[in-house]
Amino acid sequence: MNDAAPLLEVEDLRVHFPLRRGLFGRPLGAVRAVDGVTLAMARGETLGLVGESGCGKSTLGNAILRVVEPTSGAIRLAGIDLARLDGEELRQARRRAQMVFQDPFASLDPRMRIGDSIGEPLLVHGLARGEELHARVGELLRRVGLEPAHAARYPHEFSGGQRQRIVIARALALSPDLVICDEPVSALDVSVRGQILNLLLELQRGLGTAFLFVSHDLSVVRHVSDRIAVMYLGRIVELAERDALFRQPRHPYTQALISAIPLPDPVAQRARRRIILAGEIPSPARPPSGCAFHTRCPMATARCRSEAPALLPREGGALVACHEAG
Amino acid sequence: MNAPAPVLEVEGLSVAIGARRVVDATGFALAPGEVLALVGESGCGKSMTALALLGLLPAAARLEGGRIGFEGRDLARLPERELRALRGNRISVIFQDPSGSLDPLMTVGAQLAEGLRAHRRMGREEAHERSLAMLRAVGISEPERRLAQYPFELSGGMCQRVMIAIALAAEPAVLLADEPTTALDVTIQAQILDLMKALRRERGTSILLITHDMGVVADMADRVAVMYAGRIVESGPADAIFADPRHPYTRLLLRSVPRLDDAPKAAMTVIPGSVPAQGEWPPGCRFAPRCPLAEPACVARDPRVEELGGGRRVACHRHGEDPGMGAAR
Repeated sequence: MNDAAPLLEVEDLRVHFPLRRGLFGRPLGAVRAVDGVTLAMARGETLGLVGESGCGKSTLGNAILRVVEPTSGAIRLAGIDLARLDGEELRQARRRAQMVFQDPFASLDPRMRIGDSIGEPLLVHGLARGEELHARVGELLRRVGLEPAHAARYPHEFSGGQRQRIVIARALALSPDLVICDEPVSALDVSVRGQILNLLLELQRGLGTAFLFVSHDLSVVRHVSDRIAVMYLGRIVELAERDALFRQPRHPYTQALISAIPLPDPVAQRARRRIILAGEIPSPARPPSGCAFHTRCPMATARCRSEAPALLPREGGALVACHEAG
Repeated sequence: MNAPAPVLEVEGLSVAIGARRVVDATGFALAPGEVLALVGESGCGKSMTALALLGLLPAAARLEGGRIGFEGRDLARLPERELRALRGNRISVIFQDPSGSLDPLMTVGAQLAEGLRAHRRMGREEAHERSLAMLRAVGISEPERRLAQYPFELSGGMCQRVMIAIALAAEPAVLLADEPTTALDVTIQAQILDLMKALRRERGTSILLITHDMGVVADMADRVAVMYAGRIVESGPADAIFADPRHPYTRLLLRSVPRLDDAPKAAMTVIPGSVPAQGEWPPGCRFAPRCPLAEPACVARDPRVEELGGGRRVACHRHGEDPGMGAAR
């Protein structure tokens, strides 16, 4: 395998959900949840995907693994186009990528011993059974900071943070190249979040797994990511190296998003110049014309109202979709 | 001390669910025009405290004791009829989930007018005019049209603003805001927090802000009370608590929040273990099982609340000592 080749390439991916009146009615239009996203990820890197509700970040994560069906576009994982596969081929290709969801309570079957949940993917793919399976499960549990003896217990015997460890152990069972983490710490108490973030970073260092880290929380995303993509209404508006994005956010939406995070320091927070956006996030069923952000953008011009900006490279390597940004 | 008399003064407040005490002798005072943040993680009792103040405890919970001084009366001993007259009038409340607090079967206009007509004895015309003015004040576009709409026709941010408009229409002495922006996107959160600040500035409303978010606390609060396992473990002016937290829980909690200026991918500060379940508190200092500084004395006896001067209080045998980075995992 060529290490320089990207692990994941997403090309002009679209996910449109038809809007109908009633169950069998004619389609009235479409919710453009993901509307032409192109991105690439290297092996072992973490790409943060941030944005507010309705921006399509979770749908994008789901579409990459075909948990939801893309409407069009290509998804190449290690060179294989997942969008064109079916049945057994898709199942095999999907082994390379796994998901971790927000809610560890909903992600585990309450009637299954956690050892069986963790071992299930190995068993299903015929990779281990009997004594060997037992040993692999024990090793996975240890890897996420739990004890092999925990395998015989049920999910309700664990705290939220421990359950998220179990979910991570299961995601790692098939040694995936890519793990899509969808808000993995958002349901956890603040004092427990750090445990899970530390675990993810440690696993990445040890195993070289790439993470697509989907979250609404920009400070968490900054902590774990190498690069960050900012989404608004189905599109990437800015994609840049982490430090560049925070030092010099170029898209007016990125600027507003960063300035809206309240800093956990009253003195610094009072001294800040804040951009408070007016208005609401428009519905992805009726996105505004031109640049979708123009209805809330302090810099919008006539051109922004009619012509959608392309995501283009700027000095320093950041990709920005804005007519006005420098 | 010449501090103005508090508008709300809570002493020794205890709430139990069955045999479990979920709020254990908490006390705090809210000065006129002040924002006091009650901070803590899930199950610490912060929301139960808020519900107890309003006489809105769920059926399974009961007030075990304490005094809730407000405008010369003790709310803990007030009959339900009199409490109802205060709620939405002298004390208003905003909850995290606006959809659960608005009546789905009533228009926005009817819900706004209801309080104005009942508590402020306004006529139909006057209540209508006032409702419009309130919607404008909370930044709702096309207020005339909104008055005729039902909650399901509005976005989450808009419902939250309607709830705030209803809460503020009464010009309450105290606004109780329980995780008011937790369900909202950050750009909408910034709008709502700004609105609450304007309210305090322009009308002198006192705000009891209940939240788990240290960023929101830093943005809003004059004073902070940190709750852990049913008790207030530290309280004082916000600037002092953020600059120099004294309780090891406060210190570790502040350090475990990722900041925009810390080293990316570095190991984060972690509080070992997890938050104890509501009412299942360990003996002695309840934070001891997770505290890197814990010694046998911490388990043997409850720490007293100590006055540190400058309006600061802390309940810890080893307060002021540095608990370090917590555990690595």
